[in-house]
Amino acid sequence: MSKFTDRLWRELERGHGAELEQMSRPAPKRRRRPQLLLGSTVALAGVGTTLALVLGAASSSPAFAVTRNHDGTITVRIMRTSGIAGANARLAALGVRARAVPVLAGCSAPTLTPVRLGSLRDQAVVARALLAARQAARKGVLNARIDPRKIPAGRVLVFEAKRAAVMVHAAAGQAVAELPPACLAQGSPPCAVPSKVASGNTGNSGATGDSGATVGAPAACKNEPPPSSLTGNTGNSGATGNSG
Amino acid sequence: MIGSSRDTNLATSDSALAAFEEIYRRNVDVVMAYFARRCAEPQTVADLTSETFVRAAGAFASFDPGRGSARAWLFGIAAHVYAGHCRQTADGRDAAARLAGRRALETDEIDELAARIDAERAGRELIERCSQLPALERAAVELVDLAGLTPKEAAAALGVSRVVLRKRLSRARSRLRKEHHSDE
Repeated sequence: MSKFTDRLWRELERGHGAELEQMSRPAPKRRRRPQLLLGSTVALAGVGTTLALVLGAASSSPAFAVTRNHDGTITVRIMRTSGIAGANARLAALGVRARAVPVLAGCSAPTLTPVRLGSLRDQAVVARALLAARQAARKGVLNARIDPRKIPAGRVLVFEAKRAAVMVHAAAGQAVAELPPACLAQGSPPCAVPSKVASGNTGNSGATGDSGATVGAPAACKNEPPPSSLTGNTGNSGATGNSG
Repeated sequence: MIGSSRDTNLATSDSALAAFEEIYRRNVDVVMAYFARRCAEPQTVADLTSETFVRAAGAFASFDPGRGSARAWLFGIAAHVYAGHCRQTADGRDAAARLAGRRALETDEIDELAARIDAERAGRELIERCSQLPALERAAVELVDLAGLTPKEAAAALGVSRVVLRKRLSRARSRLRKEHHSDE
């Protein structure tokens, strides 16, 4: 080392040493090659579909994986029910308005608001999504690819995640307009008459929806707020990548 | 310098500071050489080298070793720093900005840097010969043939695929060879 480089290092250490000490040593971030889902991107949110997917039995593999793909889509894989909270936290950290919600027998929360699928194109998207989900379910995992840009403003995409035998169940649900409940009841009928959501319910920043604090809250039977209410939470910034 | 015992210590440390120091010590010379091939003033080389590592320290949390080597990452930052320097120079803001924030060099530091600039003369000449090449080809030649990056690292630093990098590198070398023969 020369005098210049030694001196430069001392200055760097003085200026950034404390900050660097707080960090952990960078390690290669786990990267899964996103599975090619049948059809194309599962643009679930655009049509508001709820999927109930089969979760496999426990294994030694990671419980979940949330991967940002090069095309801006997000791949969510949940291998065990214990991975739901982690996957939701990761989605929240990425600013993606999508949540997996477990389906539990004793859950008192109502099911999600049903939606009528409008166009043939929407129906085709749903069909592709379901096909992809079925494929994934055979492997015992929840596997979905989401395009966050296609989630309508003011909506939260909800995946029903339940551990079942074989079937992939598709409910004619809707990407909800409020904080998703912490759980969904098994087999409960959809809400008959949606009502308005309080305008103050604008949050989808992760903590509440993931924590289980809203168990039993009748959030999912309410109508959607104005579309602008969640638009502040659309960014997907800063997850990966080396700067420079 | 990093000796073997020091390397062992660094390798087992979880501290980002230790990791960053390791990266710094392994790469500061090549980063400095990168700027020495472009600038004839020791003070400018010092400023740009400092700025590169200051930016790298600030962005270290976002560095992902899985996406490329530390050297490639640093060269990516260095290229941005140099581009910013060129823009400032073109705008006439360079002198004032540098005078405001620059750290004065001591005489022996100036000598060291002047020697480094001198040592990079051949590289500077090659870069001048490459001036007619497209920017990507020029950058590929410099990173691989002068800075010693592997094609994979250079591709990561330039944000292109390895296939593209290899094609551009091959094309650039071929053009330089032709130019060289025609000069003879």
